[in-house]
Amino acid sequence: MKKRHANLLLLVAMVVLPLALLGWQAYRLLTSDSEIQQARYDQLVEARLQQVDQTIQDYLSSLADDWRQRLPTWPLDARGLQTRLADEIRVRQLFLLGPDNRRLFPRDPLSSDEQDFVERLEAIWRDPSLLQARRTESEAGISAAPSPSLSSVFRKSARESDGMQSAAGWYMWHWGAGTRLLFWWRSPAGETIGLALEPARLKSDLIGLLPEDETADFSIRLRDAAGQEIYQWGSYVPEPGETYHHYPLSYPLSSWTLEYAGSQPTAAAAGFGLLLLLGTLAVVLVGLALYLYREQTRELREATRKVEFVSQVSHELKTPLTNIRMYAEMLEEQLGDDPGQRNYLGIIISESQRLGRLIGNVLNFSRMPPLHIREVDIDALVRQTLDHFLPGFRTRGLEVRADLQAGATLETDADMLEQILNNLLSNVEKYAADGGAVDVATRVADGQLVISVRDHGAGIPAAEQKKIFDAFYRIGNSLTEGVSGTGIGLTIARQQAQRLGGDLRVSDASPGACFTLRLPVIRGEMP
Amino acid sequence: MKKNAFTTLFLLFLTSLFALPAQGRQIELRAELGTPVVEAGREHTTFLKISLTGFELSGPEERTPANIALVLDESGSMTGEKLEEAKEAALLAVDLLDEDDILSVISYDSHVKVLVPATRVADKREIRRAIRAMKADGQTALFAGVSKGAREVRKFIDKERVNRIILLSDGQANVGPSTATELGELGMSLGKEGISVTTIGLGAGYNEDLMANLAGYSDGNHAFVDDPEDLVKIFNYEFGDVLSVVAQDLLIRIELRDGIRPLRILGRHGQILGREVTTRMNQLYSDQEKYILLEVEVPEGMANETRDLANVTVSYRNMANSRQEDVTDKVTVSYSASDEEIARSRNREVVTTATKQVANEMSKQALQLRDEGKREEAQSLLNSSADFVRAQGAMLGGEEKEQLEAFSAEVESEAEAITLDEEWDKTRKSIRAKQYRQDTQQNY
Repeated sequence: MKKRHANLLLLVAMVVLPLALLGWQAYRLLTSDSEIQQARYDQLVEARLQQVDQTIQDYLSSLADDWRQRLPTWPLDARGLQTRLADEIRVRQLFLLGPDNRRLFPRDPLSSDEQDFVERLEAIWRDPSLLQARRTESEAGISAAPSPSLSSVFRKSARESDGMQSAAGWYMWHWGAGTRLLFWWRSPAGETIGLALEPARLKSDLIGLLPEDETADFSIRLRDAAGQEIYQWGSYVPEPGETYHHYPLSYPLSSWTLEYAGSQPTAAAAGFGLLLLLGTLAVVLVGLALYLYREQTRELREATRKVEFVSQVSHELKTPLTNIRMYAEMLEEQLGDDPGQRNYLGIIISESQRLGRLIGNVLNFSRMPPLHIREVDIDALVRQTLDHFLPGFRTRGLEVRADLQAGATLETDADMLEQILNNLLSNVEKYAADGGAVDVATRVADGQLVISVRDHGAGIPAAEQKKIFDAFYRIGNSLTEGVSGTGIGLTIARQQAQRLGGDLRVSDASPGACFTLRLPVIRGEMP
Repeated sequence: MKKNAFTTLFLLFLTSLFALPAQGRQIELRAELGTPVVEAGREHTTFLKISLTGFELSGPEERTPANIALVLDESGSMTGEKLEEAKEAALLAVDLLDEDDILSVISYDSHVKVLVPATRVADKREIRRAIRAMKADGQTALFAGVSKGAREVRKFIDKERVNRIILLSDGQANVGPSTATELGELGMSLGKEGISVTTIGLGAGYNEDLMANLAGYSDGNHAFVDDPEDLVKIFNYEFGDVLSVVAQDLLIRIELRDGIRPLRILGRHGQILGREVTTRMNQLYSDQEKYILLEVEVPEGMANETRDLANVTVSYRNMANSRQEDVTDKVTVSYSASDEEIARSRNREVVTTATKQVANEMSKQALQLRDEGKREEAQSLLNSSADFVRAQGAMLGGEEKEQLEAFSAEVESEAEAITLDEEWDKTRKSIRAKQYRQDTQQNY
């Protein structure tokens, strides 16, 4: 039973260990892989958002280019400007500053819209150089955080402003929660025109420029300075709680943000693949283990069946054997003194006894007979058992030296004890006959009855001493060659000793081996 | 010599015969005062009506090719009959257009889809298939939908075409910019570009101020459709308008003479700079009258004196001959001591129009009061408006009296409805659409 448990454990280990190892490797691979994937993903996101930013910057520069070309042709009187304002589709309001930075347009009296506009740009009237300052500030921003998209709008204006009177640029200022954009241009004569963009139109134009990709595996949102969503595209639906990647736009829309969320398909797929591999491996291993386990239990079952068969047969043999013995013994009583006949009969009786012991062994091995405890005179039992073997020993030239000192009775199963001795003595007869003698001793020591059987044969190598008690184990050497045996004698003897509360051990006696049976004088508990 | 002279005369006559139809192929401009004769010796305010009427098209082959973006709501609320009717209406549009026209179809929910990029209406089957595939789901990114529509229209934008976005929505814009002001600003900008936006509100869920603003500032039409089944009808009217444009990009300049002071423009957006008033219209439809109503202050004058009041110039693009043309008209005002003469000379039609327009302004104020929760004030304002209209009718008498009494009755029922909670969403939309029609002389 123990062995089966051990086997099971072994099988489980066989499955679990490689899996655990593989899992660990896979985990490490995945983590390093996901780091790479993450970096790649971040790059991709960055690139996508940068492209969007670039699109917006391109749009703003095209507006700037257009106005830079057209503004020099504008009439700078109030009426002309009014007409232009009415025609400019992207401009909501405009102002004109004279070379002395005095506001020439819009002129008093102001309409309520103009009033609002003028008040909101109060800072500019006080210090028109703010327009320029903003530009330089943004350029400083470029050098601090290099972004290729940023510069394109301003590079030109910066170039133009170097040593020339005319310059142009964007100016961003806050209006309520939102931001407004203003394009300014300074004429060679020193006048400054400022065009305030229509914010709704700016948003609409940007929406028109941005893609409407519905199949993409990401989702991008554009938010204005007030945090309001302007536009979103891409069909990716973020998991609840998933955060968006934020990315501010370049100047002059730097208070606007792009938000990105998307799936990371490659990493997930790799993870899935590995998981699949691991799963398959687990299934294969478990299958293999199951197969082995089944094979093993099948063998065990078959062995049990064989043993059962043998014990059945043995049981069937018992009755005819008993008859043979009985009649042989009866014949012995009635036989005359013809030594030849007596000799033959003696052989029949001793051989049938041997066969009876054999069958008893087999039956003992396969079935546990109940114990019959009674008072037993040990020395008498030993002597009686030895008497059974005397004829056989004598023919093999074995001298029996008995030293029976126990002198005690014991509460035990006489049949079982006799069988143990039978097994030990029969082994001496079979394997150590060339030793020439066998010492059998009994004594009581330390509350234990000790019966030892020592031969003077070849002995048992130390390595084999443990195994000889295993069922069906036979030492494979010259010792056992040509000697038939079942390989269960010692197994049964030890089992029986244990059942009687004692133990059976072997030790080296050089020459020969000594088997020592110890039984508690006060009968121990049965296991 | 005599013969020569005769021949010349005959030739002149012939030329005039051919020239005459050409003359008639101009838009008609009339500038009239409600009271062309005023009482001498004191200041007056009066209404100057500048009406523009598109000429008749000689036949369907003469119509101006269109460049249209259909922007259709396919948000979740459109599910069912609404979407089906919207599809029907869009399919009707495809039927009404031909190879000279450009059409694009854009649908929007939380995202925007360009179902049909701007293209000539040649392969109608493909366009129909795209329209039929629409499915309702998600939210309402109205601003983005219009923006994409504008982009599609811009691909083929042309002074020789009627450039228009037709927007259909049944819900509140809830993705992207979504205030009435922002949509008004967008409308203004598109209007300047020559793109009109017609907005059609479906059911009781949309924001009528936003839709009216978008249409108003871009000089498109606006309609409230309660029953989805009426959508096809409305689309029919709309395409009736679109396909009958005879003039575009109209700039109306009113120069008031010394002493005449402009007070306000009724119903339309315009600019008053000193004594010069300018306003624009994106287009004029065949056989339809549109007008600008300007309230002016006339200084006191002496009896029998006649003064020049204003010069009106309208520059526009004549779609029939693809030419930039001008029409002008002049208005004078006379002073008289005779009440009888003043009454006799009164322009009954202009007074009627002005009365309705003034009542419309009061209706707008009433709606604002109602929005602020001042129901009683709103109601009493409308009631006094009804009284005013009726009194004007009584003063004018005749046919105008009947007309104004009917109008007064409408105002009264409006006064009745404005305090009610029941179906207020719907009532407000219908009032808003009515105001819009009155302001822009929309014919449906």
